[in-house]
Amino acid sequence: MATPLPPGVTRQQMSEALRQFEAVVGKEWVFSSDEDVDLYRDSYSPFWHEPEERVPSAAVAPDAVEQVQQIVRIAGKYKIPLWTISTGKNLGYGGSAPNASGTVVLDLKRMNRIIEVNDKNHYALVEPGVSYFDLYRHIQERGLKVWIDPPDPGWGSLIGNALERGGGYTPMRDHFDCHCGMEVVLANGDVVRTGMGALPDARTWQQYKYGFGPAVDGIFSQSNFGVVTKMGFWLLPEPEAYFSGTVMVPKEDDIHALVEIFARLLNSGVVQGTTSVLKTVDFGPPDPQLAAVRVGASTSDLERYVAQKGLGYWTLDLPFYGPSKVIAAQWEHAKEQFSRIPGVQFRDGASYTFPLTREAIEKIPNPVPLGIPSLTTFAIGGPFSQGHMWFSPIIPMTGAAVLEATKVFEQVYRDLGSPTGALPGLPIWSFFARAFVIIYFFPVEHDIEKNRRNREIFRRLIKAAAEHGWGEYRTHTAFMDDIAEAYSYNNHALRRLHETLKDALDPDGILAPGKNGVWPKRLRRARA
Amino acid sequence: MTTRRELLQIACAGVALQSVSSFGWPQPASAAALAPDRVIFDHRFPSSIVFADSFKRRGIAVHGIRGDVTALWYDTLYFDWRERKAPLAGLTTTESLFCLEILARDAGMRVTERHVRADGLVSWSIGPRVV
Repeated sequence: MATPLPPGVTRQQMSEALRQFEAVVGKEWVFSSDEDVDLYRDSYSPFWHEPEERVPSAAVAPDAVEQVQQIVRIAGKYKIPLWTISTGKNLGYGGSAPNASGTVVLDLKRMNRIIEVNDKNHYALVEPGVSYFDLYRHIQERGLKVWIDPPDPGWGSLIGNALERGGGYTPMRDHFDCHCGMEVVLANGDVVRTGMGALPDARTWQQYKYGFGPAVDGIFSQSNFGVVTKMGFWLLPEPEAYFSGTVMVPKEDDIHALVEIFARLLNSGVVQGTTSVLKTVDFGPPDPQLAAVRVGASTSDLERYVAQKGLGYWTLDLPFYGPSKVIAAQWEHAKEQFSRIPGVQFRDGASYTFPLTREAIEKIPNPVPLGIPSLTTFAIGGPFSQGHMWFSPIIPMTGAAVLEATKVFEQVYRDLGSPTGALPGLPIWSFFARAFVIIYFFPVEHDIEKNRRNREIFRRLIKAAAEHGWGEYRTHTAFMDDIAEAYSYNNHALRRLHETLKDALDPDGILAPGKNGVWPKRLRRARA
Repeated sequence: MTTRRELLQIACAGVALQSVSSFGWPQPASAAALAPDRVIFDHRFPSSIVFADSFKRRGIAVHGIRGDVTALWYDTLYFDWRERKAPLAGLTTTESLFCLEILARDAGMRVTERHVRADGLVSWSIGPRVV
């Protein structure tokens, strides 16, 4: 594949810029051979074998803030766009590949210093190249009494995941919400510290978020307004115990009471971690009888099936973290609340007390909700060999919304057909407070026609969601413009504000053109 | 509690491993293929066990997995690769190699050989990147 150039940049200018990058970081850390650049392609690209695949032209990997400053200044001089990655593990959302071909990847994985971990006030300060595994290892080796909150899988960057507003499973599951203080290199090379970090010799940078004056941290998430080079995170004090209890209700209409009670427990802090609402017939154990029942079955048929199996129509796992006595009381309280639903069943699930020995950890099938990073996601096999994307709309945390979303998205599948290899139902998650997020698996294959069809279905889902007032929280680079288009209140007032900020902070448009639908002025026509 | 991983696992239960011709990235040419310090096999596949035995008889360390490479990397390869770019070979699923390839890339190493077999498993070598 011929290496593409950024728009308006000559090969000579690119060569000169790469030479200057080498002078900053060393020849070893500028990657321009096909072999090296190929490693920055999106291994889950929905454009495999198609010319639309977005591929970088080169990559540069600094190991210090001062080098980042020099790189952005060189990029500005030659108007060479940079696509920042932390560790490049944003699989399902674009991986390490840019949103515009020819962009140079600014790879921050060498900036992997753990600057501070405090297990008395429970926070950490890290650089972008620090992965969840890195921080977990650091904590374990020192016997610190704090937990991280890894996503699934856990090999990505804390900063990268938080900036993409990713989620985990413990009470610290909203990763951007749990950050406290940033250091950001702006497009002009200036370095800004947010919150209390703006105070020279600050003593509370990771302990108080807001500082003084307008709070700006949010404009650096899912954005292209700066390069985040340090970030603080609040950590969970190691809890005494964990317990998971399961609630099952028998009727489809029970979803209304189930979610209403759950939301009250969640928003009261009785339940603290991420869970999912599952329609059992879609996600239950494999059963040949189920396949026969599911096709064309009425709601009452499905209700009878789950009743015969001793299951619930809807299943909800409740995670609890804290002192054992408190957890026991919380579970009892939750059971009392759900007992208002006729026919409800409860099951005790996993129970652990901490700290766990290494031998005990190895016996846990899924350690991620216990703050332990893992790569077991990739050991699943099946249709995941070639990749996937996620369709991720946010819907209200109500039973009515769950039923409506199911109906709306199923209609899209009736109209266009289901994506090849898709899951049978909608997994509905509580990664964030007050709203559910549906994280729907979308397969990617090395088959042009299947990928084209799946992209068409994906785009139809975006429109169907928007027509019902639902928008995606995050998306693959292939759909960033589509989703930004849907956030159109008042003639795209938010996009116009984003563009105003972009033009002010990055007038040459060198930082991540097109990231989340925000294009610099000189490339704005590309949006159409 | 259920995680996204478990939902995917439930949904694809009973689905056979697909046989794929390659994982997408082209074969790198510049990394040298070296005799492995360690050979990785998957306990679930007899052919993989036989593959590892042939190296074990030659005195080369072997390490078994069951699809998941987390413990292999966290407890062993992290240290192997921190001290030196220790070459590795294996016969595994494409998913296991996918993880190892990305972890190797982060350690300045590359997949130097890759052969997909008729049974869907892939034999491979990982070695240092040559600048």
